[in-house]
Amino acid sequence: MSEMIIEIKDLFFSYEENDEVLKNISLCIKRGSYTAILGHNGSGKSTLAKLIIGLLPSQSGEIIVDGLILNEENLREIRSKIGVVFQNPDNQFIGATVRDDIAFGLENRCVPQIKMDDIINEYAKKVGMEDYLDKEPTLLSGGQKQRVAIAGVLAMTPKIVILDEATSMLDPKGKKEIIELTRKMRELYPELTVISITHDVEEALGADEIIVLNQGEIYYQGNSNDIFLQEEKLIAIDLDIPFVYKLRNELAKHEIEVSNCNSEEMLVNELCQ
Amino acid sequence: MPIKFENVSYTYLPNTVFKTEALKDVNCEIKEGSFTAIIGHTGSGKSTLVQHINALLLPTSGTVFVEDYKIFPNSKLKQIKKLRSKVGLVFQFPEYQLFEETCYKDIAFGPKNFGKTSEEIDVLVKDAAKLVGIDEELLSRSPFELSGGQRRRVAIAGILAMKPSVLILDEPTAGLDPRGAREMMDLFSRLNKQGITVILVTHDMDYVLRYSELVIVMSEGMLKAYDTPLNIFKNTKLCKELNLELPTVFSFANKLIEKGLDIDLGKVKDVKTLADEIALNKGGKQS
Repeated sequence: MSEMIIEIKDLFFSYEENDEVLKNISLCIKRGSYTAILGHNGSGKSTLAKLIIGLLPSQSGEIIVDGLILNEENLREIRSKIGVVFQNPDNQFIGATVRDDIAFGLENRCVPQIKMDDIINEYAKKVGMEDYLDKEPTLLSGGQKQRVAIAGVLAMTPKIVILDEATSMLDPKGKKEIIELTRKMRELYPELTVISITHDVEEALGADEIIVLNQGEIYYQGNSNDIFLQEEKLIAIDLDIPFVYKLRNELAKHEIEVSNCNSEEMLVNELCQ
Repeated sequence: MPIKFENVSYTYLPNTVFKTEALKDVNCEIKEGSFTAIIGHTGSGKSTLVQHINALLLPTSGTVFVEDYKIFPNSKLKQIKKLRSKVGLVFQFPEYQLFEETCYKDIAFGPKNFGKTSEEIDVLVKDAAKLVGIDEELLSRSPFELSGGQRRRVAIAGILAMKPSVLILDEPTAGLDPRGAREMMDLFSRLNKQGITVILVTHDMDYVLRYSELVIVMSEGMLKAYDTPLNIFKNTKLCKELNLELPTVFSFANKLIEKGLDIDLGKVKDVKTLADEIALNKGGKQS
């Protein structure tokens, strides 16, 4: 079994002729890692996700998911390995109740009714929505709807979960809920590969690996500490750096050295020693 | 154009089992040319409040004064229709409201309805597009061919084309990338400096701290506080009671204060001033 769960080689894609949205993308994503794909609106990051799950056909290049080359024949099998949570909480809630919504994927897989109830209860609990099983979507907040979407995805026991801007339409509270749930999800399933597609640098902060896309090309690939130290490079492509790194830069001007701190908690402890 | 709420209450679906009191006896005055933020949790009455300013909702009791207009429970639409061209209301995710064949027609929709001539409309549309940073060549395109961020700009241009003197914005930056959000907020700040009254409904406390002069805090349909951002966020009791988020710099500064650093919250406005305050404690180099 390869150490890499996703391998992409020389991928090109354009919606219209002569207007390439993705140019010569080659990258690998490690099994069990948390990878953030960062980029501004229109950088090609969502297109990349759609190609990985075969929602769009690639025009040239190769995508290998869990050892399988993505093509017509493998498509079903590859999709069964990947769960996606999309941006708009209202567009992906299809059940009449929370229970129905989590059941949707299971029903498609013909899971017997008796088993299904247990599975639904189990996953609703994992995302903290067990008290809402009979609630309608209109009674839920955006964050709650996204948690239900995550439960529905996890219930299918995927190997890869892709969060495609899953927090960008939420209020700060909903955003925190989802970031916290992502962290918990990684603890519960250490084998699970999580890919977060986002323009929110705070969300990318905890990632093992960050891939930055700019105008359809890979701009940077590496660990979060290295990339966030390069404020100008990120701002040049319409992104930002996390609060902790901004504060570090400002403190450096006062000759206060806190270069080993890459979370708020570490920074508070260091400053209050 | 000053705005005044006098004993305003609003009840959704009165005389039914679903009756909800969304506003309870709200009194306040928003000064002409100010930049005011309205904060509060989902369901606190923020949106209900601002929808009174252009008479989308009529109060169940009480009166709203906007310039010479008086909005009360029995107001007739005819008397207040013109008000709608003066108070521009940008809903959350306004790009979902685009519907015309071209961006030009979409932006022109408002001025056209208010009876402008086609020459006037042409100037208004092009000016508004320029303000929000939409190239003239995009105007002939369908809004549905544009990216999400561009669609948002077109939707906002449609409001600006009516030349409102009050601009109400409900979470205008939700879903935009950092630069898109910054450009949008800078635009509103610029319009405010040109004299437009800006009312911003938001959950983003960093924007509240950076851009607004005054903050209205809503909770359960009541106006709980009306003060400067600094006084609101310094008021730990109020913030705890209403479970308000704090601006990033404030919440970080509070953690430092809890652990014994001496930080003057009154001086903290952004990351730079926060670092200055920390430096005073740590004996760092003074700039």
